[in-house]
Amino acid sequence: MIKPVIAMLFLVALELTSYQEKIIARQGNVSFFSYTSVENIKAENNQVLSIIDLENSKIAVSMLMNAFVFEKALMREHFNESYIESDIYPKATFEGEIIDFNPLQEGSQTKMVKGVFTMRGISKELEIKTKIEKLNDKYILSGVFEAVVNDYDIKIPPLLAGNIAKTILVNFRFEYDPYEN
Amino acid sequence: MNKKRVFISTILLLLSLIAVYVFFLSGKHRVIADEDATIVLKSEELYAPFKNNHSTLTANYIDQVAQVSGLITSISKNTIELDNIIQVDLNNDLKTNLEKGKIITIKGRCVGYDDLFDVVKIDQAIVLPKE
Repeated sequence: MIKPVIAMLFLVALELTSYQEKIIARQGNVSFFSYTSVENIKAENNQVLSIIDLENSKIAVSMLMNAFVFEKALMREHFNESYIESDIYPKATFEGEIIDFNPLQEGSQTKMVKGVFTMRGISKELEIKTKIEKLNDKYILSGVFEAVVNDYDIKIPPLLAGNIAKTILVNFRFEYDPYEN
Repeated sequence: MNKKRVFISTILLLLSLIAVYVFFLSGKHRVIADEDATIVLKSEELYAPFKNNHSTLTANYIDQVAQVSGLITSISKNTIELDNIIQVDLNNDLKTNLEKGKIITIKGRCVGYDDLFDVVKIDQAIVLPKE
């Protein structure tokens, strides 16, 4: 009677330790939209890096501003040279924690991700509702949040103020694979 | 006579407006694959100045067309890693003749350094044929 119980406990323990401790995404997608009556601006970055430590639910995201692709080349130039100043601030980062994350739960779960977003050297606390999908050893995180242009001390010339929304809608989607080293 | 002048100046004004629009507002995107490489390096030579924070050097690398050679250390989708220090995003889907352990040369845009994964990133890249 005892033996099967021990065997089962052993199996459960194996199951628990069988997941990879860290998962990474190399081609994360972050896109943002600015809607105004004058024009709509959309930009997309398909090379965002992210890593999640499944043991403590910590998440880190890092994106190079230079990798955003715009519809028009001039928008990209303004974005990098005037607004973001990507030569001085090449990256935006997010560091945080997925609250009440259960890395073993198959299928979909919606959790809050709490952390600090840093862009142009300015850090803001963010809480982002995130959908987490797990299929075997792959995880997908996706969600939407808003960023206020003013928060990051981005200077927009008065002439173009009407072209850029005060609040920018940010979409993200990351596909994670186990980290092999 | 006067009508003609008004007509011509209207046309000229329209033309110049169109020129301004085309020139300033649309702006063509670069086609990296068609540009000649301005820097030709081995993976380590590109990585080292970023890693060591040589900002005067790296400022000249960012947004430039770089031709880089190295050993493939990982492949996933259309991303390959050279010597674990250069992450290359290829323009097109992977060619089947690419595999781990092969030495290749690529040409693409140098995006910059990301310390999270400790890699220099290159995008819009193509694999160059062996010389």
